[in-house]
Amino acid sequence: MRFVRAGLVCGVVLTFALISLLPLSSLGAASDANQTLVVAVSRDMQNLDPTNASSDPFTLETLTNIYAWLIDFKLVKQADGETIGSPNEFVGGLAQSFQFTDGGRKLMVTLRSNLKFSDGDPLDANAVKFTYDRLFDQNATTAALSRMAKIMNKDSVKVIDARTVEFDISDPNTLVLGNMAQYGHSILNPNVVRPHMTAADPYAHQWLQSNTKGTESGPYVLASWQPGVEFVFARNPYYWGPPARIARVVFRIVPDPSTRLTLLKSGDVDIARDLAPLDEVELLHDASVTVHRFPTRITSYLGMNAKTAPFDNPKVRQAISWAVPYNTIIHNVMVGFARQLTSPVPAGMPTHTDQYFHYRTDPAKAKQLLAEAGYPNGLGVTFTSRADLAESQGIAVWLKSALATAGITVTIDEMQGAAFTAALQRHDLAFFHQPGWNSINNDPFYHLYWLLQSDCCDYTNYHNATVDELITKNIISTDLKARDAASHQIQQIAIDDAAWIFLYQPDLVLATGKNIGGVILYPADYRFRYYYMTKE
Amino acid sequence: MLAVPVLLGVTLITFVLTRVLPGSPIDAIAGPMATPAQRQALLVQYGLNRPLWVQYVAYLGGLAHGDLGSSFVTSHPVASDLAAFFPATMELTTWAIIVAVLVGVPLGVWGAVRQGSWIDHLTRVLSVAGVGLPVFWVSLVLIYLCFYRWHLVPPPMGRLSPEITPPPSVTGFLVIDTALAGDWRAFSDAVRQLILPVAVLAFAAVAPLARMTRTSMLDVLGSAHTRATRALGLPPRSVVWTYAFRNAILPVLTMLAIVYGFLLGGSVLVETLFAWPGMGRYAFNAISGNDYPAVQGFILYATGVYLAIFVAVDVVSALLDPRIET
Amino acid sequence: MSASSEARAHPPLGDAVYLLRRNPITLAGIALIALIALAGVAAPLIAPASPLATDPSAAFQPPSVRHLMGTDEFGEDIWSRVLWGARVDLTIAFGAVAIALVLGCALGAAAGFSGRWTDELVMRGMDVLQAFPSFILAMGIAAALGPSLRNLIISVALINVAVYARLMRTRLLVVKQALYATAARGAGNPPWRVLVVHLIPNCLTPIFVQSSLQSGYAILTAAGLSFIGLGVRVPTPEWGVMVAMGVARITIGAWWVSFFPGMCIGLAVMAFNLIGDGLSDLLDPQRR
Repeated sequence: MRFVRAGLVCGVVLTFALISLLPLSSLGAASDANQTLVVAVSRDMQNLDPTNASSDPFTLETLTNIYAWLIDFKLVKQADGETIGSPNEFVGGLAQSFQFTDGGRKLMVTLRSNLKFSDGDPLDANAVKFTYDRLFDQNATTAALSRMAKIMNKDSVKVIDARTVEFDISDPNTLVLGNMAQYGHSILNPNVVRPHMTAADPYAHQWLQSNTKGTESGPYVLASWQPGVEFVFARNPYYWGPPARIARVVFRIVPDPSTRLTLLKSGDVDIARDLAPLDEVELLHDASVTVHRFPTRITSYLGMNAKTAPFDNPKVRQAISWAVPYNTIIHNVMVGFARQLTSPVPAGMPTHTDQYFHYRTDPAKAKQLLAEAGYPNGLGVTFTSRADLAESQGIAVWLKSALATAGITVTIDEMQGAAFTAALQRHDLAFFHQPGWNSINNDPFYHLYWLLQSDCCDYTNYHNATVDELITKNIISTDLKARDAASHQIQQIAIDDAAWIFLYQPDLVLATGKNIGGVILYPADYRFRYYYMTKE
Repeated sequence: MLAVPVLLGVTLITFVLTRVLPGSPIDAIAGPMATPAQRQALLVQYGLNRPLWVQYVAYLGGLAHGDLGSSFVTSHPVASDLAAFFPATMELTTWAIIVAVLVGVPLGVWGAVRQGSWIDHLTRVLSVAGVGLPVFWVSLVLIYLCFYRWHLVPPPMGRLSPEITPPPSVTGFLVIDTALAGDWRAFSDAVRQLILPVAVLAFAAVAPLARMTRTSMLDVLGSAHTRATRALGLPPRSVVWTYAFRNAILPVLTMLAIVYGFLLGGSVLVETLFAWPGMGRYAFNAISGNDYPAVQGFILYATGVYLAIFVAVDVVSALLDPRIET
Repeated sequence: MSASSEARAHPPLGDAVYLLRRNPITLAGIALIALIALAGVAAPLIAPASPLATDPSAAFQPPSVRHLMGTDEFGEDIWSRVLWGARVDLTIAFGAVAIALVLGCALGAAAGFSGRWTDELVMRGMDVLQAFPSFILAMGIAAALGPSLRNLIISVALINVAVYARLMRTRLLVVKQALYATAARGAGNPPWRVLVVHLIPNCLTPIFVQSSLQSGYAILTAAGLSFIGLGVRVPTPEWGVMVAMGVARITIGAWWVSFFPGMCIGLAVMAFNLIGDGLSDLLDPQRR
C-alpha cells in the first residue's frame, strides 16, 4: 500500500509542478495588439447568401460589414454630440451620386470610379445588373421588399453606361432608398458567382451560403470561418475608402453568457455581445468597461390573438392592459435598459406620438373591465414565453403575479426557440411575448403594414377595417401631411382597441473595454460597423 | 454482426424523434417575411415535402455512400461538421477518463484493502460529492475562482486561445497534434485550456470508478481463492495486485465503458460553459434548431463510437480473462 | 410451498435493524431522505412565504433573518422555494424511477421468462436504447414533448428503462434455473404465478440498489435539462431550475441564489447513494 500512497502523492506534486512550469501564453506580440479586436459572441453564423440569408444577428452583422451597397446611411452629428448613421438620410455607398428624376419615377445611380471586388475584379454597372437580375430571379424576401418599394422586376434595372444604372419605380414613394440600404442589395461579383450557378442551383445559393471569397466589396473580407469556433474579418485591400483602423476582428463563439461577461471583465475580449441586462448593470460599476447604451425603435410587445377567445373581446384586452406591471418589467426585467412603448409606432420613427397611451397598472380598473366583458369572477389564460430568452421568462413570472391581483390566472407555457418561432409564424399562439421587432425601413406605414396588416407578420391577427384602409392608402403616398394624420388615427385606434400590450423599446447595449472607441449606432438596422472602431 | 441492426434501429428512432420535435426548420431558416413560395422552395430544397418513408429510405441510401446530408443550420455537410466537432469532445472525455482512472482506481483499491480507514471514508465522501454536485455548478464556480479570481488558468474561450494558430490536424487531439508539429507554445496553450474542463469531468467520473473498484475488490478479496492465496503464504502486495486486482478489473472495465459513454453524452453542459466546440454543443444547437440531418448524423456517429467502445471492452475483457471464450 | 420460499426471499426484520446500526452512514442517508421528504410534505406549514410570491423591491437580497436563504431576481424567498422544491424534486426522483422500474422490469421479465424470440427482440430494443448517449436522448425527448414537470419525469424515466430491463432479465435467467423455482412449478403453480410470486422477488436485490442510485441521477439529469431550458416551467420551485437560473448570477456576486438549491441537490443525491451502498450490503446474504 505504501507505494500506492507514494504514487498518488508523486502524481499530484508532478501535476502541479508541470502546470506551474508551463509558460503563460502571451496575448500576442505587442505590435499586433492594437490591430486585432476580439469579440465574444453567443452563437455562430448560419447562411450567408445576401438575398436569402438566415435571420440570425451575427450572419446579418457580418453581411453588413463585408459587403457593400449602392446606397448607405449618412453619418450625422446629433445635437448631443453623438454621431449616428441616420436612418432617414442617405448618401452613396458604392454610388458616387444618385438622384430621382422624372417626378420620382426614375432613380439614376452613378458608381464611384475604379471600384473593385476583393479579388481585384472591377465593380461596374454590369455587376450591379447581375446582382439585381439574380435578386429578382431568385424571388426571395429581398425581391418581395423591392416590389414593395415599387421596383418591380429585373427589367426595371437598366444599365446606361459602365458606371450608371437606372432604376424604374412604377409608383413614386418614400420607401425606395431605405429599401436599398440593406444587406439584401449587396453587390455581387459575376465572375465569382456565375460559375457556381448550376442547373440544380441556378442562383449559386449553396455556394453563397458559406462562401464570400472574391465577391466582397466592403471594408472587410471574411478571412476565415471555423464553424463553432470563430470567424475572422481582415481588411479588404481593394476597399474604395480609407482602410479600417482595426486590421483584424476575431469573433469567438462563447455560448454561455456568464463566461462572456467574465472574459470581458478580465480584459481577454474587447467586446462581449448579448449580455443579460443584469450583467450590464453590474458592468456600469466596472472601471475597465464602457457600457454603450443606445435607445432603439425595437418594439417589444405582448400579443393577444384576436381570433381566439377570450382575446377576441376588446374589453378583455383592455382589462389586461390595465393589469400589466409596466414599471416592474422595465425596472426589474430590463433593469432600466428600456423605455415604455407607448404606441404601435415606436419613438424614433416619424409620426410617433405619446398622446394616446393612457394605460397604467391599475388592477381595480382591470377587474371592472373584466366584469363588463362578462368575466366577473376572473379568467384563466395560458401565456407562452420563449424558454431560451431570459427576458421572456422574467416577464412571464411578473405577469403571472400581477394579473393574479386582477383575478386573472395565468398558466405559463414555455417553448424553445424553434418551436416558438414555428407557432408564432402560424399565428397559433394565444397570449405571447414578441421580444423585438425592428423595421429596418424607418417608415411608419412600412412598419404598420407588416405588424398590423400583413398575412405573415400580424401575429395577433388583429384587423380593423379603418386601419387597413388607411395603411393601404398611405403606404406609397408622398403626401407627408396626410400620412401624419393617418398615422395618428391608426395609433389612436390600435391603442384604444388594445391591439397589443405595449411593453417597451429595449436599449441596444454594447459592453466594450474602455479602450475601444468608434462605436457608432445605426438606428436603421442596429448593426455595428467595425470599420469605425478604434482600439487604444 | 449485431451492430448493424442496432444502428438501423437507432436511425429509425432518431428519424422519428426529429420529426416529432415541435416546430419546423423552415420557419427559422426562412425568417418571418418569407413568402409562401419561398417556404415551399425551401421545403423542396431540403426534401421535406416528400412522404416520411421516402425521406427515410433516401437517408439510408445516402448513408450507404457515406453522405449524411447537409446541416440546415450551418449549411455544411454533416459529415464535415462531425469531423470538426467530434475530436474536441473525444479529447476532453479521453483525458478526463485517464485522470479519473489514475485517481479513482488506486483509491478504490486502497479503500477495499484498508476498509474503514480514513482513506476509505475520504474516497466515499469524494465519490458522493463528485456525483452529487451538478456539473454546471461546479464548472461555473471553478471558472470564477480559478480563472477570474486567482488567474490560475487561461480564459475559457475554447480549445486554443484566439491568437494561437491550430496545428495541422493528424489525430484531432490537439495535445498530440501540437507535439507532433513541434509547436510548443500551442502545446502548452492546449494543455492549459484542458485543465479546468477535464478536472470537472474527471471529478464526476471518479466516483463510479472508485466505487466499482472498491466493490469489485471487496468481492474478490473476500472470495475463496484469495483466502487460498493468503493461506499459501504469498506476500500481501502480490495477493492484492497480482491476483485480486486482475480478477477485480473486469467489472471496472465495463463501468469504464459506461462512464465514457456517459461523459460523451453529458459533455453538453461543460462544453457550453467552457466554449468548447464539441459534439454536445453541436447536438444541442441541432436539436434546438430542428436541424434534422445534424441530429440524425450526430446520434449515428455517437452511437457508433459507443458501440465501438463496448466492443473494445469486450475484447480487452476476453484477453484478460481466460475463462471468456470469444 | 410459499412460506418457505418467501422466508428465503425476504430477510427478517431483525437482521435489517442490526445491519443498519452497524452502518451508520447508510442510516444517515435514510434519515436525510426522510428529512427532505418531511420538509416537502410540511412545506405549506413551515414555509414563511408562498414560493410564488414576487416582490420587485426585494430582489437579490443576501441571506438575512427575514430571508434565511436570501431572495432571487423576482424577490421570491429562496428558503420557501427550497422547501416546496423538495416536493417537486422527490416527485421527479421517485416518479422517474418508479416508471423506469415498472416498465423495465416488465420488459426484462418478458425477455427472461418467455421464449427466445421475445428475448432477442426486447434485448435488441434495449441495446438500441442504451446505444444513445443518455443525456442527449433525454434532451431530444424533452424537446419533443415540451418543457413541463410531467414531460421531465417521462424523459428521465425513459432513458433508464434499459438498465432495469437488463438487470431483471439477467437475474431472472439465473433464478429460473434454481431449485425452488422447479419445485414451485412441480407443485402445480401456473408459469405466471411462478414468475410473479417466486422468481421476481428474488430478482429484486440489484433492482432496489439500482433504484436508489437512479433516484439521485434523476434529480441531476432534471437539473441539467433545466439548465438548458428543457426542464420545468417557471416559476415552479424545482431545485434544478433554481440552480440554473442562479448560476448566471454567481459572477455578479449573488452566490446564494444557486448555492442553496445546489447544496440540496448534492445532499439528496448523496443520501440516495449512501442508501444504495447500504442496501447492497444489506440485501446480499453473501456480503454479511
